[in-house]
Amino acid sequence: MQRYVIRRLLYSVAVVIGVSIFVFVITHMLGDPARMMLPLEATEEEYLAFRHQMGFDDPLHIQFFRFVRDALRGDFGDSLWQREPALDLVLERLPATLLLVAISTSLALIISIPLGVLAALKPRSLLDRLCTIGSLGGVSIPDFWLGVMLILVFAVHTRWFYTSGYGTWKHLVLPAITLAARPIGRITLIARSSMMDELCKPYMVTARAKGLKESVIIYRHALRNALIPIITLGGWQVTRLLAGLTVATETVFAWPGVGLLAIQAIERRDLPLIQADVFVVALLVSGLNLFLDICYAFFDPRIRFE
Amino acid sequence: MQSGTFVAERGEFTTGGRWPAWRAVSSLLGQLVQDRVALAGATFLFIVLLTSLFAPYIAPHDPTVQDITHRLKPPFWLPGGSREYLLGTDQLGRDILSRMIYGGRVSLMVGFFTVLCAGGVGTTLGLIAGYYGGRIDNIIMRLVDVQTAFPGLLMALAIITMIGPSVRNIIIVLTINGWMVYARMIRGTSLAMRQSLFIDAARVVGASDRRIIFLHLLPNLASPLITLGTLELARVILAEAVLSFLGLGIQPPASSWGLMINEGHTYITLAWWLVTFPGAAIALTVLSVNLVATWLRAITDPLQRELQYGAGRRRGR
Repeated sequence: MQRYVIRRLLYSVAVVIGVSIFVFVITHMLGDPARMMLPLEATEEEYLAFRHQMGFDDPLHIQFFRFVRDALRGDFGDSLWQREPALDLVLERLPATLLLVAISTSLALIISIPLGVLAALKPRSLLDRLCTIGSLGGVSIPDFWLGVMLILVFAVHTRWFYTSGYGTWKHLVLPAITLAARPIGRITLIARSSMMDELCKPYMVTARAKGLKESVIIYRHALRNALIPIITLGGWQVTRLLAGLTVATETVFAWPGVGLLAIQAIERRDLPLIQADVFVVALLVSGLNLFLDICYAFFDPRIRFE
Repeated sequence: MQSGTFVAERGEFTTGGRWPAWRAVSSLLGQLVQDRVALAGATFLFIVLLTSLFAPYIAPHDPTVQDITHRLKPPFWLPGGSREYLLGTDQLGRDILSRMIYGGRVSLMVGFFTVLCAGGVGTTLGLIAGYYGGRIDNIIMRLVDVQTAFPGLLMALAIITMIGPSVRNIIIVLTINGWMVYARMIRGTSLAMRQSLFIDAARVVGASDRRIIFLHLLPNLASPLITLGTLELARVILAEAVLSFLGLGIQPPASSWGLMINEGHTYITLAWWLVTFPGAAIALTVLSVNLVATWLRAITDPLQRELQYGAGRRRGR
């Protein structure tokens, strides 16, 4: 176990190094960062002065080492837009995104596991067909469009919930449903197929031969084993949500999370803020991946020896 | 009783005929007709494909021509609507239906080329990793692992900000974002296949590595690759829509379904049709692609076929 954790930790370090190289390449080499940050009407002298002031005229490797050194200290520079340290701005927005992701993931798990299990118990029934097509629909609907349609129906017409903003549960309902649609589809599909797999296994025959009650067979035996891939997928969905899927939803509902911040930073060409945002999200995602992997290894010893 | 030869590795009968490709297509179509849901999806996709290909001939109006006197007209069945603008007009008086037809062009084109590029890069690297193994395999797969852990969409947004939004750049960014899936799948399958007899045989007769990889390994990976490509097409169409919705994809005055939702969603209280139709177009197209992909996986993979069509029988309760 210890060896596995150490190996897995090293891998996370590699991911963070990879991300920092990637962020550096994107922001310093794909375009001219000084030109990007300055307004269009800036003169050539202003441009050169700014370039020098920000250190963009130094050799690339020096810029890279400076970037890494500052990033390790959590210093991404001040946001051009808010005139505050970029990292603080990102950390301020983080709780809103975490809340949204937590609520919508819980919603997805609560809805999709029973649906998938019921569909697996009666394959090819009407419920099964509806579930399969419904989940494919959930996977196919663009979340930002679903958000706009929910606003139209439940905020503009019926006025049950608020169109946008942050604060009360009335603000939370629509974005949480919007964000949950895709995970619901995915998890229902996997719950159905993994439950079906378990129901076909020989130990089910044994359980029936022993004369166990059908409910015990299904919920105590089959469901427990079927939960492993479901939880794996659930964890993966959380990392995907954090890794950028919240951006569109937060934009639609003006939800003040890191996704909306990224868009605001991009609109204002605020390079330090973009860097800090991508970096924090990447750290969060790889930290979560690390945690999930160690959990799997703890619960499923086979993983440790791979 | 079927007549013909039994093709063991495909597990199906083929009837005699002169053109194997045509035979494969007609047998596929025959199976498609039997699955009504998949058939509906394929038909819808075919219609979208046709309207996109022949957009200039089908679209009733020029998608970029503005006409302020006719702005925010509702669809034809509502009071105030006219048959001239079947699905109504937007805030600048442009015809929604025409913009949707042209927008479908963009979605399909971006989807198709991205799948082609990402599939090409991923498959090549996957084949190299799987066939050679050892250190090169290690390097490629670590790269795949590291990049899979990246916050993909955020990275894509950052790249687009630096290199500027255009159709070409969107395809590049989505390729960077999507090649890993192919590499991982192809590497796994070719690793297993490397040990098989026909690869040894090819090596014994002196075939070069490149010949073995592209003429022996690759054709055997075609069917999982096509299924994965179809699934990825759905993901890419959605990704393009998100980018365009966020204003970092297709730029006005050109049209794209995601962009139409971006432009229309501020008018939502005045005109629901601005966002409803393009969004429905995305959802239905992606759903159709997903249905076709599910069906493809079911008919090409015996295990999946059993799950989809035979589970009730096997459990036999």
